[in-house]
Amino acid sequence: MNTRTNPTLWTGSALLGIVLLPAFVTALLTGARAPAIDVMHRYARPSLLHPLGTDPFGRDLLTFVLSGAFNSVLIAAMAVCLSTVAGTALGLMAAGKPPKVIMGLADLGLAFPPVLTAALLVTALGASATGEILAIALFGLPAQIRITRQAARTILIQDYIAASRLAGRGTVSILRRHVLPNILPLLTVQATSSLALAILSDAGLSYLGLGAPPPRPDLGRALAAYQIHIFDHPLLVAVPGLTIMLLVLGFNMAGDGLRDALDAPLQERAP
Amino acid sequence: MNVLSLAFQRLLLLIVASLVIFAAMNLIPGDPASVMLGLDASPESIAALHHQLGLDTALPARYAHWVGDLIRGNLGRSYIYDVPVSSLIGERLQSTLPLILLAMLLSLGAGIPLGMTAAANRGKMSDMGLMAMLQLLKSIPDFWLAMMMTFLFSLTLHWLPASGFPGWGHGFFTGLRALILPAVALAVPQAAITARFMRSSLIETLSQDFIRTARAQGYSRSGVLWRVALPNALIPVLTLAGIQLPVLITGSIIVESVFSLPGCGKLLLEAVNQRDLPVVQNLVMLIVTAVIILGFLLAALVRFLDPRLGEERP
Amino acid sequence: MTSLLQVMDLSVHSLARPILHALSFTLEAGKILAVIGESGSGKSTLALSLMGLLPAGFQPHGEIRLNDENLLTLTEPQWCQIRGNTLGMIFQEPMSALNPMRRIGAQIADTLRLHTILTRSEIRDQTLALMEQVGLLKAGVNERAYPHQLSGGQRQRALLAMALACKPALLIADEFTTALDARTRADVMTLVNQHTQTHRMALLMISHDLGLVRHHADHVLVLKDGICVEQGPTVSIFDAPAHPYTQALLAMSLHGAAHTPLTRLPFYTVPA
Repeated sequence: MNTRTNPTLWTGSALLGIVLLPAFVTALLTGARAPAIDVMHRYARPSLLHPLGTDPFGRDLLTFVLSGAFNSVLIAAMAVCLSTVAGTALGLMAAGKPPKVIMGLADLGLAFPPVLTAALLVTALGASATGEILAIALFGLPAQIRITRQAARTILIQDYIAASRLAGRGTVSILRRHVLPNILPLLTVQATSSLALAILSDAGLSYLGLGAPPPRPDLGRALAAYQIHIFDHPLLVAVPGLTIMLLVLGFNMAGDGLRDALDAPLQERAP
Repeated sequence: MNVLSLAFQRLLLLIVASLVIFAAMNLIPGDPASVMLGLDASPESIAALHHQLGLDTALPARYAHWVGDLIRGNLGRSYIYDVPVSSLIGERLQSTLPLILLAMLLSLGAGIPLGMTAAANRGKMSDMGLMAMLQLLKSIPDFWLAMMMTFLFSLTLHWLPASGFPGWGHGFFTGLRALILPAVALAVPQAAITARFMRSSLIETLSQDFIRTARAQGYSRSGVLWRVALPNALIPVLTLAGIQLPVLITGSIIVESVFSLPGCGKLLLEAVNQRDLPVVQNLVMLIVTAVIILGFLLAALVRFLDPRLGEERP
Repeated sequence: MTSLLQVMDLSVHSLARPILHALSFTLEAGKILAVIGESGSGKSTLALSLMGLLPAGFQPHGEIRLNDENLLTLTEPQWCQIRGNTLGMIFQEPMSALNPMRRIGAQIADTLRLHTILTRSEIRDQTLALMEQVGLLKAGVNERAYPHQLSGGQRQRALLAMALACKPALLIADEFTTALDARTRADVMTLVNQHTQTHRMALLMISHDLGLVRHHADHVLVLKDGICVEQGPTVSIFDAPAHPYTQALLAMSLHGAAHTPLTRLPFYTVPA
């Protein structure tokens, strides 16, 4: 993988660094909890103490937004982990055999966008981070299954697989020894791009009140609360939204950059 | 896979989806009737609701009853509004349906030409600039874009209404004006995705051997792009549209909330907040059904247009 | 009278790297010229420069005169008029050279649509006549069939019909028989041969199949690394090859290796 001459990857990583580094530092220092309420300094303008001002509760907006970003990435990462692990397992299972049942399951996931799953779960069980993660992971599952299956099949038709089968290796062993290491780079690329989608889903769900419940700071929930202040305190709406956008853009670009780096050897074909 | 077996597969999917929804709504620990009515409800009213919801019958019987009602078009009764769910939904579709349709048209109508432009100028500055812009637009959360557009076009420039939907009673354009901002906000990220997909699909098609054959036949550069490559490159975009459909439908729920549009999304959220179980269950089922059926129609269209998919392959 | 095709001092460069070097030859109407040489010797580049379809970054120099007109000075619209019309070409991969989404009748008709002012029904009649001529109708393939429903040989016949539709003065065939089995190869070659005789069409064939070349070609041109090492009448090239490279090529064919071109052996990837 040639990653040195890859401006997309570097720009994406830089964007992620701008948001994630301070977000992680904030999380380390405050545990990503909401900053203290300070009724004396509500709607403060930006100052040295509060670089971006404060919110309607007098909380420091910068700290709030960075904690929110940390929480968003955490939820998105857990959802992507879930759909990657489950999707890879199902995709590998579907690679060898006629895929009817598993692929049908994949189509089912596509019919349940996160908002619908979350609406069901919130009505039945109340709002929870677990429910939100499940809802996001379910919708990401079909793509994961499909991609894993496709990649695994291109490897399974190679001759060295037949050779290794003749040498007495079982299916599980072949999947583990030959297929999984070969599709790992692809899975990484896919996971990076999925993070972008998962962050968007998380923001939308929290905006609707279907995401993880308070008190943990959340960018989508903040946008819903601050929306009415768009005219008098535009920073309250602009900053959380821009933060989401930077994260999504960062993961999108990093994913594209990784994909380019992965595809590069394939593109060097003779005319 | 031919269209008939595809239809059968989607029907199975629909049945499984109904089972999932039914199961989720019956996950509720304890008594749904007391959940709906809250802590301070009288035992009599709980018992009455219990009966109204059919909770006194066994699970399989309840499922069969629900599906039977669905097939007959009976979507149950809203507990909160005390009106049939179907009339609630019918009312709300007046803004939701045009919104989704408009967003889909905008997404395809802007995405396809933009993707073609980028592909035709591949490698040039205009292509790279366009791609960078699309990457940015693809990453904007649609509901935040909606807020920022309201700020600019409604609150600052006063061009378009900031929220609400007057209905179609005051003339077509009055209704349309209220849907423009929501539809654009919904469409922009999807159009960016469509454009990027269109670009790579067209570039992929243009690199195929049959393009060289067409050029050797005497097709000009633009002729080969429009008449030979474009139809082939559009097929994958149709498949993509099938995946974007559920995203648009749920996106509409969020955007409706930003603009306080009285659509299905708002109905769903109100029902979730008020624990109006029949409305949530039936509305989710209805949306999932719409997603599956529309997805099937698009898949059937792709099979109709692409002769290779129309028949069984060895 | 001048020859139909005169190539004088043709060189092709890609990023300052020479692909073809000072190539000169002539081809008369009704004659068959075979270009032989290993893969990478510049055969396909030669074919594409004759069609004006060199990939971006490839620069041709010299002269290609067809009916005494220098093709290298043509504008793109002028090229479009002669491609498919006075110049026809068939490619080596019948699997991918046809548009999978269109019926073969429509694809054959395209050549006619682009270069003639015939009516719709005349085009249809001519398309059917072409399909009859190349033996597709006889094989039970009608004009509404899609490429994936055809066998490799049938697809090659369809490509031939597309190339021959406007009765080109010169047909360029780039290893068009490589992907076919021996029987089909002979059939398709016979078909092309008939056409060169009845319509006085010239054929420039690029081939690895030296048996086919020896049997059908009038002249042979041997390419090595973009340089013509030897050219002349088929009989003299085959009976008395002057250049050691030609001798080596012929020797390989005697051992039966020419039917599977050297560099087209299946290639397996083994994980590191």
